[in-house]
Amino acid sequence: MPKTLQSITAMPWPWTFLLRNRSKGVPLLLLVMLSVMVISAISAITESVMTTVYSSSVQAYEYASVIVSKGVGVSQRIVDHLLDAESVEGVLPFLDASVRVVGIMGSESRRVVAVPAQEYDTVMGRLPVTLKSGRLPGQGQPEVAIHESIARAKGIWTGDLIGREIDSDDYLWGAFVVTGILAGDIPMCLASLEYFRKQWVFDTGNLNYAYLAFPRPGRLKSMNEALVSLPSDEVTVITLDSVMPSYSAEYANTRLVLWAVDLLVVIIVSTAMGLVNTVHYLSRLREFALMAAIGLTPAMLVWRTVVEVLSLGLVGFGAGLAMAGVTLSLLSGYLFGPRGIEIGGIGWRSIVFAIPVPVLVSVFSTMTIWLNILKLDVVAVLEGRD
Amino acid sequence: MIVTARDVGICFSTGDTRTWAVRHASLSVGAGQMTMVFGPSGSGKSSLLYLLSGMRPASEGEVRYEGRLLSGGNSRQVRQLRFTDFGFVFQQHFLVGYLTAAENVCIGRPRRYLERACNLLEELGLAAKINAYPAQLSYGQRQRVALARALVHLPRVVFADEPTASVDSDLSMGICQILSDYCDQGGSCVMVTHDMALKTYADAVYSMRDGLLRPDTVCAGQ
Repeated sequence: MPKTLQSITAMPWPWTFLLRNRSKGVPLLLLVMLSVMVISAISAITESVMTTVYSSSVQAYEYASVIVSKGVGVSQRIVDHLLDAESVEGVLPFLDASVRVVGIMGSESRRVVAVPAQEYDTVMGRLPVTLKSGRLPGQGQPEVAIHESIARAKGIWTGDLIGREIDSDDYLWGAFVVTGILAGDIPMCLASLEYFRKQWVFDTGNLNYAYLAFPRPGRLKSMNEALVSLPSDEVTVITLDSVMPSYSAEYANTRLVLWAVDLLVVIIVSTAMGLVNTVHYLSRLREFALMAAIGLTPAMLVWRTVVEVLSLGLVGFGAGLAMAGVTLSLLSGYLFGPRGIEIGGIGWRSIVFAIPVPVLVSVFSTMTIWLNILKLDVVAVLEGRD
Repeated sequence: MIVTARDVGICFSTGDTRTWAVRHASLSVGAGQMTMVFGPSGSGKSSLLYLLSGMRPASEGEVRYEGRLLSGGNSRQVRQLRFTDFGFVFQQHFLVGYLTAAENVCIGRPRRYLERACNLLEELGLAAKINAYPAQLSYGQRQRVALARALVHLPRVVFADEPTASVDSDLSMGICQILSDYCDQGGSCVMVTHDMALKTYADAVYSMRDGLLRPDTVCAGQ
C-alpha cells in the first residue's frame, strides 16, 4: 500500500462508520454471519455423511477384498489359485448380512460379517476393530458383537437382542444376542460363520459362498489386480477399485449440490449487500464528495470502502464459523450424538465452502461503490445538485 | 503570486446551448493576501472558485499555481495540491454525522493531525466540543469546525465559498477575522461572498456579475 494511502486510512478508521452506525452495520454483519454459518454447517454435515458412508461402505476394502460365488460356492480351484498368489497373505470364508440404523440422510446399512469363530482375532487385527466391552460371539451361537455407533443408533447394549425379529428393517435373520461392543473406524458387526451357515438358504455343500482375501502388507493393489483375473463367470470380485467409483460419483454429486447451494447463497447475499451498500453510499454521498474535494483520489476512496466492507466480511466470516461450530456442537450433543450419528466439526472444507461469502460480498459491494465513485460529480454534490 | 488566472472561463453545454458561467476572468492571489470576490447569487463566484482550485477544468484560459499550470494539468497532481496546499470552506459545512468534531477536522488525513485539530478547535472556542458530534453542535459551531478542517493541514491557499452565508453578523466577522489572521501568518485566501460588509477584511477585491470578473476598489484593510 502506498505511504500516503496508508496514512490516509488511519484517520478515521475505515470501519468507524459501521461501528457508530450499528443499525446499518449489524444487519449486514448478520447477513454475512448467517450465510457463513448455514454454508459451513451444511458443508460439515455433508462431510460427516460422506465420511460415514465411506467408513461403512468403502473403508473395509482398504484392508480386504471380497470374492463371492455366482453359483453354489467358490470352487477349491479358485481358493488354491488365491492362496498361490504372491500378494495374497490369506483367505477366510465368510458370509454377511446387515442391520439398518438411522443416519442423517435416513436409514443406512451396517454390515454384519460372519467368520469362523477361531478367526475372530485375525479379522479384528486386519480390519481396525477392537472389542471394547463384553465378549465375542460364541461359535455356532446366534450371537453378535456390534460396533458402538450401531449400539447407540439402535439404543441397544450387551444382552439385548438384534435382528429381523426385533427390527423388520434388519437383514439379519432371527434374533441375535448382543454379546459385545466393538470400537474402531469401521462400523460393523461380527458374528459366527458356523451359525450363519446353518441358517444360509443356499446349500453350498463343502464349498464356501464367499471369501475375504487379505493382502500382504502394502500389496493391496497387486492383490486386487490378481483378483481381477479370476473367472468372472464363477465369482464376483469386490475390491476398493470397484466400490470407489460409485462412492466418488456420489461424493461428487453431493459436492456439486453443495457448491450450487453455496453459489446461490453467495449470489443472493452479494446482491443484497450490493444493494444495501448502494443505499448506504447514497446516504454518504456528501462524505465521499467532501473527501474527493479535499483531494482524496478515487483509489483512496475505493480502498477505504474495501477495508470497510472487508472488515465487515471477515468479522461476519469469523462469527459465522464460530456460530456454525456451536450449532454443530449442539446438534451433535443433543440431536445426532445420542442417535449414534457422528457429526464432525468445522474443517478446512467447510472454510473453503464458506470463504466465497466474505470474498464475493466484498468484491460485489466494492464494485457497486466503485462504479458510483467513478461517476461522482463532486461539485454537483457540493452545490446540492445531487 | 501564488495563484494566477488568465482569461479563464468555464462553459456548460446543454444540447446546442452553451452557457458561460465565467468568462475572460483574470486574477492574481499573492502570498499572505486575502482576496475577496463579491457578487450576487448566480454571478459565477462559486464556479470561479472551482476553477481556481482545480476542481473544474477551465474551458478557456489557464490557471497557474506557483507557476505550474493547473487547469490543464494532471488530475492526480491537482488532487495532490488540493490535499496538501489548498483548504476549502464550503457554503454548507459538510460535516460527517458519525464523526466527532476533531475527527471531522482530520477527515481523510493522518492521525498526527489530531493534536493540531484539537488546538485549532480550542482557538475557535470549541474546546468543550472536541468530541461532540455535528448533531450536538449549533450551526455556527459546525461552520467553525468546517473552518478548522480547511486550516488543519496549514494550506498555502484557502478557498472559501460563502462561508458566512447562513450565519449572523458577529460570526461572519469572526470567521473573516480567523481567515484574515491566517493570511497574516503567511497563508492566502480567496473568498467569494455577497456580503459587502466583509470588505474591510480584504487585501484585494473583485466584483463579479454575469460571469465577468473585474477588479474593484481596494479596501482600507490593505
